[in-house]
Amino acid sequence: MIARSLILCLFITGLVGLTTRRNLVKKAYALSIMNSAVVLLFVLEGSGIGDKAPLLGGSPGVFVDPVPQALMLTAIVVGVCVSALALTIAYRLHRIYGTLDADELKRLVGHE
Amino acid sequence: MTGRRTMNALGGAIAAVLSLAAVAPIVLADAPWPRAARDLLATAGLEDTGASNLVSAIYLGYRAFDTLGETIVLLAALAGSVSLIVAEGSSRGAGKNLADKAKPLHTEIVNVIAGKLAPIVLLFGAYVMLYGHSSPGGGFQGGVVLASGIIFIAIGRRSGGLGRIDPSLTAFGHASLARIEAAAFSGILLLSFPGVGRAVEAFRVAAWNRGLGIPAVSTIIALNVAIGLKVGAGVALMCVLMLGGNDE
Amino acid sequence: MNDAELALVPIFLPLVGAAMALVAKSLSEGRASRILETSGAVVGLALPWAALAGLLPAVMAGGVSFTVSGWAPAIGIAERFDGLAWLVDALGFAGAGAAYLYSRGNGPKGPVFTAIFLVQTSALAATASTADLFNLFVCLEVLGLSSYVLVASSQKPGAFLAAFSYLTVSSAAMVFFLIGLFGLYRLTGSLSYEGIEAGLSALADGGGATASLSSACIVAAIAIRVAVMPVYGWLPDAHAMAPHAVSAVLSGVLIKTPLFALGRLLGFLPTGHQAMALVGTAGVVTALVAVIVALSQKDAKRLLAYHSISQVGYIVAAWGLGTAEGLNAAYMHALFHALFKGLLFLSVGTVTDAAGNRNVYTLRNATAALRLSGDRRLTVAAAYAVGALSICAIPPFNGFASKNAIAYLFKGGWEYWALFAAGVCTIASFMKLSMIYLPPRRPVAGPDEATAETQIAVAAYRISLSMKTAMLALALLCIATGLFYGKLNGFAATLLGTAPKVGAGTLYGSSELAKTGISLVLGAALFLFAVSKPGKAAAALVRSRPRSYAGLVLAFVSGLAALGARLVLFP
Repeated sequence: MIARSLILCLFITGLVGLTTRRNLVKKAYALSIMNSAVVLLFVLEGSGIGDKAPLLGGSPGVFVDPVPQALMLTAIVVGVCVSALALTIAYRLHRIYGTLDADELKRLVGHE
Repeated sequence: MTGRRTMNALGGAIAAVLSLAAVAPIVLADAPWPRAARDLLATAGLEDTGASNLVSAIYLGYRAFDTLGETIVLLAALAGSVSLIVAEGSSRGAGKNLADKAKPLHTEIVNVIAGKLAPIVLLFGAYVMLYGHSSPGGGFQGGVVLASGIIFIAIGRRSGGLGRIDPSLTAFGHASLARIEAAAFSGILLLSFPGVGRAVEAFRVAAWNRGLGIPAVSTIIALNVAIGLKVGAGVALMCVLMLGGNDE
Repeated sequence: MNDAELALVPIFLPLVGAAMALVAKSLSEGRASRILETSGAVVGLALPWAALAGLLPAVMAGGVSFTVSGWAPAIGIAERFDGLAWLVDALGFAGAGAAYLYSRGNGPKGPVFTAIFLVQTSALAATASTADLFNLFVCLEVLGLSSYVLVASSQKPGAFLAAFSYLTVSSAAMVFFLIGLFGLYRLTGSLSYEGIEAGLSALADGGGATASLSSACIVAAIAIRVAVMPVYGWLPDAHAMAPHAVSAVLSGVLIKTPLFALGRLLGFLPTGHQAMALVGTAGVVTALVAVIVALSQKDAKRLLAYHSISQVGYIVAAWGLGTAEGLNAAYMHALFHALFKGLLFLSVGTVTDAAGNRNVYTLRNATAALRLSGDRRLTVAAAYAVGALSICAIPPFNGFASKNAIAYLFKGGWEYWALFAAGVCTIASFMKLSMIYLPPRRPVAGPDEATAETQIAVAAYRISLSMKTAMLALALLCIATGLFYGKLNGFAATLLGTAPKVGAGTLYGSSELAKTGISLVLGAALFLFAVSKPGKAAAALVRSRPRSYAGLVLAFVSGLAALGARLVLFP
């Protein structure tokens, strides 16, 4: 229960960061934190039904559930891709305007 | 200014409260974790796919279709990032400023260590990639390690490290990296199409009957290698371009 | 090759095309590279039609359900290729094909663009037929990633910022999707829709609040892609700043495929029907509110982007009924909207590029700009006219039939009048947009700077044959689908397992025509108000409403909370 509450805190931290931080790089990291929280949640909860890594042929014991681990492998890669693209875009914007402030950029770009 | 800050804090608080209300009951619910999938895999996983690493059995066997999607996400993200960086370079003097800024960071120590470390890292990457079916690891992890090895070579090359060959000839130049990436992607596609999988399986059984011992796990190893090469080449390509190494 | 493998071919062929384009990129530039890239596009966008034709008998017979590679359903990835998947595939390949053709003339060009465009098309097909929750997540991520890259590929600073907002907000929503998936997997131990349904019905309380909230997380995450109120905020910037060909695909195809995929999922969830009804109501509101905002816009492409939101509102409204007839009407409008909105984005984009001006209030005499850019017969203007008449629901163009079919479903309800009002605003808004073709106003004192700029822009701009071909093809399709609505609707209804309730005869009845006449008169009156001084002031007021990044996230979480409360408190 404590572990899950902490994961929830981590998730909310990411969400609040995404909402309130104006720096684009911080927004990208906030997103990454949210993603990590969910990865932790899946892996932690999936490991509750066993105590051994899901590798056959090792010491005797009960496996943890390998499904969440396999799913999270995909989610991690997707998360990394999203971060990479977000940071690349932030980098391009910084090279053009010399700022990473979302509000400032909105004004400079002239979006209505 | 303070007004905006208050608004901002208020927005954050509302977002936190509302999302907590929606998400907390899901996260904190105390339902028992399902065991059916785990039990099924423990009995049938090895026989079905040949992989003793059950995570590999899932993501390269049962759910290889998802992994194909994941590879494509990576492909789109890398190709998109690379094209954004390259376009930036072409519009602003070929990204030279970046390379210039990086120069002072270059010391003898970095060059020597990067050059010497590269083969070891590459070897380790190949190991992680090739043994993903039986131990923790696999194509994605191995590929990233391979990419680090290539980046070491690129760093070491700047002042006479390992790969001091003409960039157009070297196996780690950006042209050949792009080629490896494209070829490996084609390989992944080929291996993941279900019909092809069955053809491979039929071929394997025929070879087995003739005494050529191709184990069932070969498809998974092949996929791991293809994914490893794709990820390695793609990530390395992006980093090499960011280092500005393409015009050296 | 059996049907199960054939059903995956429309997903794999565009990927093969993408691989060919990547190989073309790694070759040195030249003839061989260009030929390989073009053949990749043909393999990815034209060949799937052959696979679709081959699948038609199986689809007519009720569709195919299978797991990829034939693994056990408990652990493999379930797929369902039925009439809906076939129709959504057809919609996707038609829209993507026309847009790609246009991009050959007007860019963005290059093998990387081709590869990512094909990846996106493949993900559209995959989304249409998936019956597995995690596979849906992967499909949506591929769709998302490729569209962020495509939006940014216009290389405009505005496009970068729009892509960034779109990327972070929808990725954050996908994290909520994963939490919803976590909840459902924990309750049922299954990822396939059927397994989830069976697992939930085996539970004493059907999963209770956890299942409802999990569903809410998933629905809200997908709703952001569909751009329903209140989670539409990312769309106008992204669609307005993207290259025209990409705008056409994003508006025409990309915002609808997730909706139909969501419909497939909700059919399996216990609270699915309530969620659909709520999203459908939001759709009616969206249809009306978005068109009012559209009426106030001054940037031509942003105006079109708001119309996309409004038209999707119509589609969502019909879809939200949850009946086969509703789905049928929703699909027909989705298809027609893909045709006419694709056409509008391409033609308006071409005109504004040719004139070097996107401001609806100042751009005039657009025909002259078109002539100077090499369009002597004014194909682009004619194509625009077809698109505008279609979206304004003027008979016999296709929008008339599909909009009235949707309105018919709501006869007697408040929704009917909301959609009627939205139709009036649409007419007014397109009258305003059509003003760009008016002759120039009297030159105000001093030399007109805009004219000089226009001349420069024109000198560099050429309307190529492939651009005109793409627009002509879409325009002809808009007319043909309008004329043969009855047959086409019957075909779609058969595939969706229903019978067309509203014949073409009813649609062209006198009351419907009278309604169109009244809308036209009201629309003209509204148009006159919109271009008057107080109207312009009101428009400026609407445009200057605060729109911040935090607002996007807040809109998402409040939508999620509202949906969750609805599902938990009134199951």
